[in-house]
Amino acid sequence: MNIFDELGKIYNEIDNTYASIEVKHRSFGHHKKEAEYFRKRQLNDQAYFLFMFTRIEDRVRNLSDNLIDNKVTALSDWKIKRTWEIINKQKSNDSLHFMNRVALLTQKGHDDYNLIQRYHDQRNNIGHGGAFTIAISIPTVIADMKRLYRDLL
Amino acid sequence: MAMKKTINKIDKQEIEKRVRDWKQRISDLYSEIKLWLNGSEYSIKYGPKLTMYEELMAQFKVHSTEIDTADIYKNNRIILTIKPKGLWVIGANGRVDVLSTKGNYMLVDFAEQFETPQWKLFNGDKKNGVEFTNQTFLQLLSK
Repeated sequence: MNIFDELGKIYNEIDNTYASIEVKHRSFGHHKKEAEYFRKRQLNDQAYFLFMFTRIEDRVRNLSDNLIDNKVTALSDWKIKRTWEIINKQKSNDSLHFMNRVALLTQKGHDDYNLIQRYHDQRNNIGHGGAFTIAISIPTVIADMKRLYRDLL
Repeated sequence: MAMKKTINKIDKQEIEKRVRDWKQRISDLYSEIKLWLNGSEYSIKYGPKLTMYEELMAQFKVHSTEIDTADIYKNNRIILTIKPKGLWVIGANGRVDVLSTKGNYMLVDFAEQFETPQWKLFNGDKKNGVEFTNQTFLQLLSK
């Protein structure tokens, strides 16, 4: 079982438990309690989404680091190498923006790039104390993350 | 499962149109479920409304609105609750939560914008979505 399936399984156990309690409170007309569990499920969505996205962030960092290292080592033509040396400097002082790393691995403006950008925007909203600005469908997230993790080169 | 790309001009009118379409799809969904439950031991009733005010609505100054929830009853007891979760979802055209005392399910519409909904039901482990039909719904209720 890969990490996304494993996280998905734990997420579902928690989500199902909370959902069950939420319905029980609704059926008894305890709407305050119902809202409390609705909120807990929202926080669970956010927590597991963040957890999953960090796996993609690590993957992007590792792959882009390897690509930059390989280019700097392998290239000898200065006209080509100079660009990679500037990128390498940004990598070394940790100023290479995450989406620029993504642009080294997927074509900017194309499907995978746009998808990672949308998830990255959500990650930033949550990471800075906000909530999802769109509804997250965890099955879609897991399927996307698994595919991106596998396909990024 | 991946949707085709639909790029429409986004402005206030477009957002309002999508909100109206979402509310209509939810209303149609409840009507369809009502038909499925005719003559069965289950019934559907509207529950407390939820406020709908999503990011794009705020961005384009579209007023918040209310959207219906629904409950499925058996022997005068709620056994399932249906709550629209959100219209704007990455990779889909809306998500509805289907909560029961035995767990949580999810309906996701994979149709293109303004096209006939293609609801898929995701089971308890949220994997392997199946087409949402009379049969799959009654199976879910009998669990």
